[in-house]
Amino acid sequence: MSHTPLDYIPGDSAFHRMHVVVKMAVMLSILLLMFSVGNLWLLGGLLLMTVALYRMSGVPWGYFKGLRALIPALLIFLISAQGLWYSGNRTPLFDPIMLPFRINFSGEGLQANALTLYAEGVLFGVVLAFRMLGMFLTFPLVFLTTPTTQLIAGLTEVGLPYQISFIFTTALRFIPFLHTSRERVTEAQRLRGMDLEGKGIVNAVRQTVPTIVPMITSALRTTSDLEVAIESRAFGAFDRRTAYRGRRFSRSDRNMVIGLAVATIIVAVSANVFFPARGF
Amino acid sequence: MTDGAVLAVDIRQLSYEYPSGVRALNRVDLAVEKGQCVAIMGPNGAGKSTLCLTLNGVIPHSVGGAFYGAVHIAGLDTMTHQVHDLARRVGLVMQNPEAQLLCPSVEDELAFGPENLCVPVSEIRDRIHAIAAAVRIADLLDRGPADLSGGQIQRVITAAMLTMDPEIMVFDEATSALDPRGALALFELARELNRTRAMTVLMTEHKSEPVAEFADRVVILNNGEVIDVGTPRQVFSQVERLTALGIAPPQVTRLMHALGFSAEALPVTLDAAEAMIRPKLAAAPAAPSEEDPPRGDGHDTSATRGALAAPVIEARDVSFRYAGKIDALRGVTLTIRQGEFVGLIGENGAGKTTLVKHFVGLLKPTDGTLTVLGRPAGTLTTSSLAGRIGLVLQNPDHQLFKTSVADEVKVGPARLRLKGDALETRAREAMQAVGIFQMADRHPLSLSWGDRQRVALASILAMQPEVVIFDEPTTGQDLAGRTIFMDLAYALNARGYTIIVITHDMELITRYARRCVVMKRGRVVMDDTTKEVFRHVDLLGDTFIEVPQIVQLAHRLSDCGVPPNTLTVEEMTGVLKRMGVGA
Repeated sequence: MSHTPLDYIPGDSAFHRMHVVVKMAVMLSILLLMFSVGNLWLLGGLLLMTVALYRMSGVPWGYFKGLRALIPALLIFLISAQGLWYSGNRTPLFDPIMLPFRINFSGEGLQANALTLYAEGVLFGVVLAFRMLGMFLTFPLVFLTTPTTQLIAGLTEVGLPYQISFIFTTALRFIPFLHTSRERVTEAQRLRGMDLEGKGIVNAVRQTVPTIVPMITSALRTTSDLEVAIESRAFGAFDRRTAYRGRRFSRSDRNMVIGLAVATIIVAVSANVFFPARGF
Repeated sequence: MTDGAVLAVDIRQLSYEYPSGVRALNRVDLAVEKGQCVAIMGPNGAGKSTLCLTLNGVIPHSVGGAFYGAVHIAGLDTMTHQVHDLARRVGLVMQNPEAQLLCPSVEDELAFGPENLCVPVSEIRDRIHAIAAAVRIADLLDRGPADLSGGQIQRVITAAMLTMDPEIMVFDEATSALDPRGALALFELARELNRTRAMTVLMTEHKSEPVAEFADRVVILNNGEVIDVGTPRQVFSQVERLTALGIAPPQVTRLMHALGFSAEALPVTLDAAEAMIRPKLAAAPAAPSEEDPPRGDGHDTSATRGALAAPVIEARDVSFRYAGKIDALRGVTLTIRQGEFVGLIGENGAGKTTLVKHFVGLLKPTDGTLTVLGRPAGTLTTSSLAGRIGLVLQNPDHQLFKTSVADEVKVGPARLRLKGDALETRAREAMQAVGIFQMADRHPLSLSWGDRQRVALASILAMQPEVVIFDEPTTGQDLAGRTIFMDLAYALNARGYTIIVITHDMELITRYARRCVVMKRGRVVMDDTTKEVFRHVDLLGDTFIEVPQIVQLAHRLSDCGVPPNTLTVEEMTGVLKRMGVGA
């Protein structure tokens, strides 16, 4: 099995040692703050903080490799879409058709047309891109630093029904399975002359059915095996079950979650008072 | 049978139909006393796995369907007890190692069952350590699922069942995905549990040699019905009847049957056979002095014949390393010539599959040179090699995606730009060659596993490759399925195809392959005629290859003049007849 973006990375960092509910609270605070403040500097700071948490937890730089392709695409898409069509657009920034001559930060005297980018939209696009990145980055760290069983145990402790958290986490365990299955299926199709070396959209579409159908078939077969395996281990015998592992959700954990909630509200409110987002 | 004691398993008049309407079991009666070890045998589709699932209540509670009769487990009616109630009494180990692991580490896996049963943490900890030591996985407790071999996974699952403290352990073809070493270790574990813990053990199994050694009783299932129950001797001595059902009795039993001994006298274990034959050999007047007996099937001539043919694959010092891992191949040098029939053997992880993936361009050597059909492998892509070298993978489900068998078979040749009549002819010939022409219009996924494998083979043959490579084609197959596949390979070879077979089934290798390449930890450690390779039983044991019973017998009797490289039942029959052993 190969490593996928949500597989547990063993470690003993401060973040690893936190109770899973506290980890989730930390990540939720960051995410909520990102959605409640509009100031670019604050947003950037929050993103940097998240990346720092990854590094502190021992996640290698290589983990972010996938994002390298994503970030420019996200920025270009959101900035151009919002720059063109954002409802709060007032200040024309520049017009790609007449680019060298019409750049004008004050916007005075600029003749707007269908391809004019507006300052408000461009800024809002950057904000949205930062928030999207925040969504991609925050919660995976919880999975990366928590073994599945601890995740289930922790969530069950604070009242989530075990069955629900189990279904949820089993679904996550299915990701690596699909990953290997995809590798095997493409191998099998290449052996029958499927051209993976060829490029282009037509070729990509042509490859879809021969890969997807066998993947679904084997996923279905594995699901029913998995179901028998789970039942054979007396799963769901009683409403409660023993938690063999995992730190108990202690009083200090609870206080920490409450503290985080209060801090989040204070920071969110004061940020909007002292660092208002400009223009929107 | 028992004096009022509660039976471990008590099945009465059990009939069962799947929700799809397929009748899997028919009026099954079976009583198993506590502490017995029972083997359930039968052809594919006989109902063995279905029977196993009725033991822990998954049938009928989770699967549904029509259930008649009664199953009692340690006195509990499975109809009125929940699956989890039965699961703590019956541990089930299934065939597919990957689909049974649920947790991120072995220790969590062992804790999962007792956690569900609300066992206190301190007791779970005690159980884990005691069981892990007993099953010899104590050093694996911190490992994740990705770092375990198939054999290790099956031991972990067994241990994960044992921490629930069951009275009965069921192994449903638990060894069929394992290499001989892993399989033997699991058999020994099952026997140990049976002997030292008085655990009741039920196992479904295709190979009769281990069953004869381990089981107290054998149950033969066919078409959902129990058609025979008895001790291994009682059951296996009916050589002709079992063979007709597609079950092969132990090799020594078949040997003594062929030598004309009566059913009552037939041995089922190697020791018993040796004890029977040895005195007769001592009394025999003369032993043949010639080591190699004359053979009619041309096995011995292949080495010289092969040397004359053109090479199709030439590997020189080929090494390969998976990213970030240890070397999978270390300096493999190997030449395979046109028209050869080569067996590629060795334990799991020896590098067999990695090597053949190089032959079809799925992998490129990190070091060394590889020439395939006269061209350096680096210049060839898998899709361009597809029409010339065919690799039949183990799991047919990874490639089937069309709605009819005929369409599925046409996929390969169509990608080679074949059209119209030429395409139809190719597909028809390939389907006829593997005997699935009558299924041309059926949906591939509605077929049995064995038939799906044949569809996969036909879809490779339709591209008319010169070399056909089989990667463990017989896993989980009964005798009939195994024989059909190997006979096919043999027939293709006779028509000029070069055949390479990867398998753990040494009985098949000794019967079909003229040349054997033995791999161990990424290296080729032996490469010779099959006869020569099996002369070195000690070396084979070192590579964890299971030596067929007949070869073991030949080695034991070599001091009496039996050639130690006698490979098959037929050969041994001839040797012993000439030496005057017979009924």
